[in-house]
Amino acid sequence: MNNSSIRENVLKQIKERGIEPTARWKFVVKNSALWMIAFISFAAGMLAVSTLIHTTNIIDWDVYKYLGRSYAEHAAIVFPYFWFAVLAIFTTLAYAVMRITKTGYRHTKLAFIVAGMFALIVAGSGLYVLGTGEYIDDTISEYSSFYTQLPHHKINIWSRPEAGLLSGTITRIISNNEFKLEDFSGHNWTIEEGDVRWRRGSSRKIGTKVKLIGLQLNENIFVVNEVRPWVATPLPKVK
Amino acid sequence: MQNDHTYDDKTDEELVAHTLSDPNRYEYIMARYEPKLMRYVLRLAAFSKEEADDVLQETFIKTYQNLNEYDRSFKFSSWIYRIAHNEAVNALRKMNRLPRTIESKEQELIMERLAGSLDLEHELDNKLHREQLLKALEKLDGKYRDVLVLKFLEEKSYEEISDILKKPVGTVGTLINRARKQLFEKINHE
Repeated sequence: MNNSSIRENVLKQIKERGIEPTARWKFVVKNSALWMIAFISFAAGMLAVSTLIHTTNIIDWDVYKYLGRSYAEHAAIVFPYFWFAVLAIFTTLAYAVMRITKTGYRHTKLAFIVAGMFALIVAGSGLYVLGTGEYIDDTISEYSSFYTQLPHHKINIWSRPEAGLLSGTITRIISNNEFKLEDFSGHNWTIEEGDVRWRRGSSRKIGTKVKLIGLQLNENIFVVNEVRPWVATPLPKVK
Repeated sequence: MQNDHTYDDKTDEELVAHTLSDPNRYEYIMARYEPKLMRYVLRLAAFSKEEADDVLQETFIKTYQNLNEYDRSFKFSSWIYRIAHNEAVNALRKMNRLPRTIESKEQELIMERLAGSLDLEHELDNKLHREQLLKALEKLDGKYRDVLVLKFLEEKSYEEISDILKKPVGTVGTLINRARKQLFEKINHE
């Protein structure tokens, strides 16, 4: 095959096989889809950062002593790995997709990582301040029992009456030193108040969700020493 | 059409536009790039003439099929070189063959241009150094040979090499510097 026969052969094949240039719109759709996936993955990463900040922030780091753990052990167990994994999955996906876009190869891995981390931290923190992380955490907690059983989740940590940690909703005030509480599994408890320390933000009202530290007397009675509010909002929300 | 010189002065981008409205104009693009790409493909790997013809034919068919994907913000030559590079790599993979070492004639050419970039001309007058450099080039890793072929034989810029190999410009620079470094190490080892 000489040089011109390559050209002749290509033109012949184009005609015989009916080869045509692929329509431009197909490339536009493909490229747009890639950018869309990258954007959605990055957005999911930002939401994961905001929820990671929220869940890390509401962990009761000091209850390790009730659980028979050292502080380091407790911290290693209750760190919200779930949200860290979600963040890792979506940012890796965003990175992989951006690399295969038309100009993705022009940027180094380091540039992607530094710019990506910066954007994720800034945007994720912004979303956290707006209350997005809390909203996501609460919504998933409401619909997924799997999620509430994760080691970092406060329902999991505060549903251990045998260890002195109990949580739920106040359903009835019996007397000045007794009230009824329904825990998150639906079990009803009589709470006896000894020398109780009510932490700031907690209140002794029907319908209020609280965390209790104390002693389980039997299957239905719990003596409380300390009451903490269920919802902690360390940063003021932007209205 | 063979003798029609109307299209000689057209830019690649104009030829692409003409081809999209009249497929017969594609021959002008092929005529412009056939010798360059044939030389490049043969420099990349140990293809026989027939194998190189097949690689080139596939390159031109793929290029034609994807003409609408060509983005004018890139140089057309970088884009078609990339397709040729990928087709050559695919062909090698199918043949289960490694890229060859560069022919000694081309090694000489790389060496002269590399020597110029290394400011080594005066040293390379020494025959011993020339032979050492030739031997070192033969032992160079494939990834370094790719950039050396593009830089010193095809005389492409860093940006063009970046677009052809789909690597960041900084990485291309690093690869070229490492290729030089590896050459020096191999020369000093000899």
